[in-house]
Amino acid sequence: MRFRSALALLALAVVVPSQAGSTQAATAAAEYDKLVAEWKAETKASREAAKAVQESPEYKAAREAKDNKTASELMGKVKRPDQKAYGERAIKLADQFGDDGMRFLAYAAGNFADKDVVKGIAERVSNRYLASPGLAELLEKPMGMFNGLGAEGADELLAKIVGATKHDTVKSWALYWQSVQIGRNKPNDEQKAKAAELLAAAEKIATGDLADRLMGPRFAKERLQIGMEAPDIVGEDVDGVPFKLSDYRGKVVVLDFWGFW
Amino acid sequence: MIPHERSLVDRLKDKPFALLGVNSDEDKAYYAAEQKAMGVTWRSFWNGPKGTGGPISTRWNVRGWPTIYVMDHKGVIRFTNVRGEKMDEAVDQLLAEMAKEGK
Repeated sequence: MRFRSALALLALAVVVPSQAGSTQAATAAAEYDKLVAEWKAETKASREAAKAVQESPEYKAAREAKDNKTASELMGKVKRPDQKAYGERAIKLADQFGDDGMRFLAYAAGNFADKDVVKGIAERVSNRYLASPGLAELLEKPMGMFNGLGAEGADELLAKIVGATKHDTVKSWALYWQSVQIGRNKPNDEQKAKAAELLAAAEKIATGDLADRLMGPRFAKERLQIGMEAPDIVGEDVDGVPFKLSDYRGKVVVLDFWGFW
Repeated sequence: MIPHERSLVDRLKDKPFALLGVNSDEDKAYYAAEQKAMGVTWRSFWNGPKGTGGPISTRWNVRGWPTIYVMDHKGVIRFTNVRGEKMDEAVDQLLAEMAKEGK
């Protein structure tokens, strides 16, 4: 009996820490889902309110009369979601969850373009997450953050990431953005050569989404020119029903890349 | 955009013609609701939760929205980025070619 309970205790001791870890990860995931859902709901409500204003007789009358002041005042009454508040909340959650916190920063970088928020994100990335593979997610959509940080701040952060990371996916994204950043600022020939070098380095180690993105221009040149047979698209419609572009062979087809946003 | 495309689809509903989309709204539920509200009857591939960064538009190197391709009945790309009347003209030309070939 004594032996058995000792064994049980031992088992408990082994189980408890891993359970605590997975509980923390689960809590982080739940908090993340909550943040995203609330942000989306508020964005949607705001979009709908803007639409209601656009369709209101007052707004239409103001537009008709070219009374832009009244029109923009009416639009100004629409409540916009508070990006700063959401960003601060995301950063707080990142701080709370440590190793599981990267995802909050990634989402914030892509969605909450506020100067103080992006500064807070950059600080935490520099201090805590330079080695995190989760940085890849943040680097998929960093333009809002780069704009908030300014060219210098963005370059500094990217250089730190390139220097520190051991993950090819992260590194390739960072190299890619370094080349993009150079291209954005009226580069001279020397800078253009540097950008091409960075891009080539990124291309060599890129995986997944970035690899696809880097392949885009070549794919367009080799497969999407007038007179070429269109490459097939295999996908699903809004109801989840699979179909292919080639299902419509035998018909004239207009293919429109679009969205409501 | 949408009213024009709706009228094109209506006008050609008895012809060998299809308007297909690659919808790039991140939120599928929003897309579904708006499509119903706006009377979008044509079929789209959904580009996935990454929206404009989704796999289909990435592969097709789409940088501006909307981007339009017009294919003939053999699946050959014949026009790109035709809008409004130009889209109608392109489609009518390809339908006429097809009729001439007796298909």
